[in-house]
Amino acid sequence: MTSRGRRHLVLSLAAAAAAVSARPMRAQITATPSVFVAYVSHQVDEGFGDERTSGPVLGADVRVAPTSWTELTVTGYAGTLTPDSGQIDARRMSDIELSGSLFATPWLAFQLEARARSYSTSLARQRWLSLTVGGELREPMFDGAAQAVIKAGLLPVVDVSGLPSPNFAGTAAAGFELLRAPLTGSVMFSFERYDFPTTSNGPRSEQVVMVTAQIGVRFPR
Amino acid sequence: MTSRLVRCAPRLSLVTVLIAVAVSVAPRVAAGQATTDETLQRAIHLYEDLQVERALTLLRQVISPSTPFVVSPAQRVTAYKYLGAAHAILGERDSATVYFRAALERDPFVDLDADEFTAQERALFEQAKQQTFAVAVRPIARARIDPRTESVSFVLVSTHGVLLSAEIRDAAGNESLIFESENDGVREVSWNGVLASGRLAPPGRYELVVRGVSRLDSTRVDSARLYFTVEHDRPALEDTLPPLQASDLLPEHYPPSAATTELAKGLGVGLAAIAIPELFGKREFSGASRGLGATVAVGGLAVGVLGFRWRHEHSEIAPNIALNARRRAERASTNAEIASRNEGKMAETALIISPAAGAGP
Repeated sequence: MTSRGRRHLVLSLAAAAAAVSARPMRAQITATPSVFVAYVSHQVDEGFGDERTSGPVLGADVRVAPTSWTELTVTGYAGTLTPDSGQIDARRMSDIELSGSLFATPWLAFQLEARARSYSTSLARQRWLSLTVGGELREPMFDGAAQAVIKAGLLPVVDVSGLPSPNFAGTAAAGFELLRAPLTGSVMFSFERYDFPTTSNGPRSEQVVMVTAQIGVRFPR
Repeated sequence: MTSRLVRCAPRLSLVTVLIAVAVSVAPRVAAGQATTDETLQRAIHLYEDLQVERALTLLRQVISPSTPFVVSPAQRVTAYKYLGAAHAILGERDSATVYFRAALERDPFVDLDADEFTAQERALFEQAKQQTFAVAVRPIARARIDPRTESVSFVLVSTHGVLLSAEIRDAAGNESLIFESENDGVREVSWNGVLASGRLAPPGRYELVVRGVSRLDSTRVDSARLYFTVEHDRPALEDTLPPLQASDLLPEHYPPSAATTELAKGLGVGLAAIAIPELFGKREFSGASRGLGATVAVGGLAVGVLGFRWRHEHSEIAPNIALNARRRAERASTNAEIASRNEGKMAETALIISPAAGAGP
């Protein structure tokens, strides 16, 4: 491409950007920062029985709604899970997620979520990368002061360090969100399930169960 | 063809006869009236020339029952008036009074012009008026009045001092007194179209009833009636909008099933919390997953029950109630504007008052 052609392209893009930015905002952008505490139970079965660690995690997220039909959420949390038996080590769980929701109707949204998670012990660190595709049902209750939420999704892409990709990976959640402007809150039960291919060690499956209590403030109030 | 002509012949001959009779009679009636008028004019001219005897002869011809000519009531009254005047000139007071009374009884509005009649004649005429008792109302002409600024005039007369009253009577017999006072002679009474109820007279047929009680003899009572119609002349009124129907409004209360729906939502979350570990977890893991799920399920049940009760107690749909109230207010406001415009048009109502014939209402 010649320098003249490049300049023409840049000018065209600038004009298009200016035109888009000049369009009137149709809906007010809202942002909802929240903090939450969750009880996490992580269970692993490698063929030698149920290894379970559990404990509280603390986290925060920011949910931004650019329009009434889209949402973007960034979530991060971390905590130490202690073993229920003395045969395994405690581990530190860290997680960061980026998700986007597109509302087909006020009560049905499609979600796409990217997640990076790690489990760290004194000996090793296991890294999880995954992509979730799912949907979410929201039904208002109490004249909109709360809503019942049910989510479900599949994880078509899961990359775990030191392990093959699971044959099946799914997630689901159910709970309630409270909307008492400007405060928001939620109580959610979420569940993740991973079934890995059978190796010489036998079948391996893992599941993560969380009960989360969250509170946030929506801006503008 | 011939037979049709034969059948038509009697009908044609009857028509021909009727036309011939009409043609022959019509000029005679017109000629009769013209002759009476000419006779009257000649009599008046003779009277003015003081050829009173000759005038009397002609005037007597006019009032004679054997006169071959048609005499209108007005011509008869004029004849009586001049007969009275002629007799007064001749000094025949009693005859003069009799003829004056005859004129007054036929038309209480009759009067002697001071420029045309002598004081002696007028004195006898006044005497005749004292002896005669009659009240009358003059026919009205069609008139259009603005009740805010104008009125229709009824001209009443009494031959001598009376307690005179005039009232408007509508078709239902409701009476509105528009005049009551002592009167002697001609009196003009105005009416602005408003009835005793304070409302403008609605369109319809009315009767003006004039009553007089003689001051000379309270046993003598006379009355006169005038029939007329009232029409309203105003711009067309607008119709107000009908009240909002149920189909025009949003439901203001949730149906009874809404409470069950709230319960179902809570139960749905609770069931999901129980079902998720069972479905996804395949019952491989025990402990926390099921325990936490069960805890959330109980929470969901509790929220569902709360929602059920809450919806029972709060069945109103507040946004719909507000919207309906706004719609009702808008409708009321629109109707108030229409009513206001209609009041303005009503205020511009003009009355068209026309004389009416026939029996009273």
